[in-house]
Amino acid sequence: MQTFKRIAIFLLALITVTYAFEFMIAQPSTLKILIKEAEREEVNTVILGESHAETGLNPYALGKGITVKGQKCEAVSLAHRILPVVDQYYLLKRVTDNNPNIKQVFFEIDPTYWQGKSMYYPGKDASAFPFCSIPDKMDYFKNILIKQNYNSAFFNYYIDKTSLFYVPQNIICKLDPDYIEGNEKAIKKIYKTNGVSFNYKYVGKGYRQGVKRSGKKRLPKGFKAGAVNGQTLNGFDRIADLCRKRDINLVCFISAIPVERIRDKDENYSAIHNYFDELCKSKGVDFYDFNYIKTEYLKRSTDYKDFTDCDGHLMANFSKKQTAAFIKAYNSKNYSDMFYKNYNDAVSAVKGVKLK
Amino acid sequence: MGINTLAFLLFFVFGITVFYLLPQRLKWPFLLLLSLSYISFKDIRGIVFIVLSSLSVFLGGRLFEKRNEPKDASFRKKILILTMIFNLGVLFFVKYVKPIYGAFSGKTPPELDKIPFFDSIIIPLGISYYTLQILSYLLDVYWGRQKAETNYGKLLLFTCYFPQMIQGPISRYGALSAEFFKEHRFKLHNLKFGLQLMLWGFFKKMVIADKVGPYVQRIFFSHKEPYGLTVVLGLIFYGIQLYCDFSGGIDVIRGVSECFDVKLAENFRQPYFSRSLGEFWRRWHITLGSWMKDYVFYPLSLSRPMAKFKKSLKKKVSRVTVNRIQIAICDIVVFLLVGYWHGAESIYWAWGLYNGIILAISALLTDVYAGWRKKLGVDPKRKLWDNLFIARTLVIVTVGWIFDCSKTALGSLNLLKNAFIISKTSFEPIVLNLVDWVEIAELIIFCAILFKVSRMKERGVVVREKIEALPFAVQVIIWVGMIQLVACFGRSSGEVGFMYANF
Repeated sequence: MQTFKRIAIFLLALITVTYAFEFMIAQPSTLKILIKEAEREEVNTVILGESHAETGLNPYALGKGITVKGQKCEAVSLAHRILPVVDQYYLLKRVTDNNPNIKQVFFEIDPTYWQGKSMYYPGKDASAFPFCSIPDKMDYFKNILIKQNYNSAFFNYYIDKTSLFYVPQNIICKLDPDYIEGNEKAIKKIYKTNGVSFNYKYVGKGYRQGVKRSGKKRLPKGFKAGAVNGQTLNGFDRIADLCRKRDINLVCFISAIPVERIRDKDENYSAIHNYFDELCKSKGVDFYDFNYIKTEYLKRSTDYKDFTDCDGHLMANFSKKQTAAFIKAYNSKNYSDMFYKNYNDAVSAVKGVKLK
Repeated sequence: MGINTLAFLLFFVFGITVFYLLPQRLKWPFLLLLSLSYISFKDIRGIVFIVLSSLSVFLGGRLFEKRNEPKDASFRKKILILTMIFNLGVLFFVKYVKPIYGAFSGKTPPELDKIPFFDSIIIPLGISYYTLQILSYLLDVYWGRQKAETNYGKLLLFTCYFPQMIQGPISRYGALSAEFFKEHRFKLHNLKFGLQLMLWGFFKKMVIADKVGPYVQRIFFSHKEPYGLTVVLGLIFYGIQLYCDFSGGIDVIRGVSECFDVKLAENFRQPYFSRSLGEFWRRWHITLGSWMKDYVFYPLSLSRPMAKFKKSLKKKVSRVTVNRIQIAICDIVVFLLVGYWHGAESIYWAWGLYNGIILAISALLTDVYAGWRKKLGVDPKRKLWDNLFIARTLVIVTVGWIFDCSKTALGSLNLLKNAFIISKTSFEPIVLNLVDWVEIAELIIFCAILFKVSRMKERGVVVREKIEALPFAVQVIIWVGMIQLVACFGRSSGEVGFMYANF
């Protein structure tokens, strides 16, 4: 009896500490709120992707230039930084299960997330698991969680250099009535808890606007088609299949990144473009690469003023221009005319660029 | 299924539950079934290799016992050689043919994978480890040190016992069979100690090794070539990563096994506290070292060609010198073989040669060293000298890791050369982007915990028993704290495999 009592006390202590830590350390969820937004009846378009999509496409501007099956485009961005592609599938499944009016998906491809091993970020609001239905939770468990290290699977938090700093704000935010009720205005408060508010402003509909440069350095990733992560590819396949089955128009795009990165041979950007161009063709999906767009449609420059950082998150003004170019491509009968056909033309067209 | 995945944990919980529910006579067959299922998760074809290899040594062993007369010596020898050729041949074929062909043809591993013949070669899980295990059984039976097993299932379990399939330790039949076939009763103490050992292993692996790993990658395998102190720092990081990864993995494996009431051999004994390179290799990967000593070093020392060689030398030099030359030669051969066991790539040969030559020189210069020590008044019992010897060994070992930090032996030598160009030191690969000095500070604290525990173990303290003696509330705080430490600081993303699982 004594032994069982001791085991019970130990487990109780462990569970209590785990829940307390999760409450304090795990970031409050913007996904929880955005899912609610996307499931509103009038929403017919969803933007998916990671941070580049969050800052790259303005849902308000889309509404002014695009129609979906004769209706005005009402878009919500479900894009979320470091959200794995396979999790984006589960999110899309969840919102289209609950909102059959969604007939359009704009999917941003950030090649950085397609290389190497699949990533999983506990405590960073980058998992679709909490929002899945029971059957999807089981599917998620079988496909993703079981392959993770046990640590990531059991504990939804992780301490890095900033997480302890945000503990007081996390607690305040999670106890806020707006957050508890899932009101969109809570997102601005969440931004203060995850460091995003330093460089970005939340505008609404999941869109964040770049307002300040941070000047972070970035090492080239050196894309290799052979090193594309199987789980990510599977996530994309599932998104494409889901869209086909549910009669949803899927459009893929790559947001513009600094020209210097495109020019850097170590990035191997030509391989990136060719790989995703082929992939989208194989799925019968339109693909806009804004790093190959002709200068008359989107003027790119060699300095970094269009971006908040070297990684390629857009400043508000450039995001507006990119959204306008997106609308133009979307409405064009032959959008491929708007884009250069090869790497050299795409890079050398930018004023001041010399090919390495 | 890596041993740090949730899948493995569920597999382990299922295994433990069923194991203790079963009657005694069914426990080892269940362990066998569990082990075969574990192997089949990676590739079911791996079972064929294991069955064939274990069957060959089982039959070999039975024949040795049946034909045990002096007149059968030649027959027995032929059987021994054939069985060894078969098992080593399989190991050579699956593990070495591809890289050797790659070295001669200049093709890279992805290019080789596209060749249909190489594409079809699988490397069965744990082949490097179980091949040595079954050869030790075969040789022990041949030499009469071990009775041949009459039940094939038992030998099969010895070959494929699942915790040690990933990275050892390399067990001996006598020791492991005693653990397998004893009476297993559920004891909370075993489960508790096993889980604690697993947790300690996870701490080393996830909190230290997996955090240091990205720095090592960035320093040695990114686009920029490292120079000066960057190389030195990279080597120190690599030494920490390798130790925590390998010994952490072994702790998890031993912990898992302890939960099944099967004690596995120790594979590490605080190696970084060694006073000499020889001592280091007696404390690091102990089971491989002792295997090499028993089945290569001694047989080679006592072999006929060696005796002939010694005889020829005795005319020219003293007996003591002859013995030292013999040790030096055997050291070089052993380390070349250890290098070769790790892989066919040039870096492994070079690593083996580096260690073998240093040990050979130490053996040959024993008298010279003794003379110097006497002249300098070195007293190894004094703390200062003791620490100096430890530091010297650390330097030698750390320099030796350079062969793991490049893809070719020439590349390693180039790195070594770069290490002396201090003016070109750049810490850009370390401080760039998301990683910063806060993480380095965390690492220093965790390494300090590791150092403290290792120091206690070095002094003979059994840490788990010391904690066990504390009041229950304190124990709860310690173990919940440890679990949370791994949860909060353990690498958060994906499954990071174990480095030694690649061998």
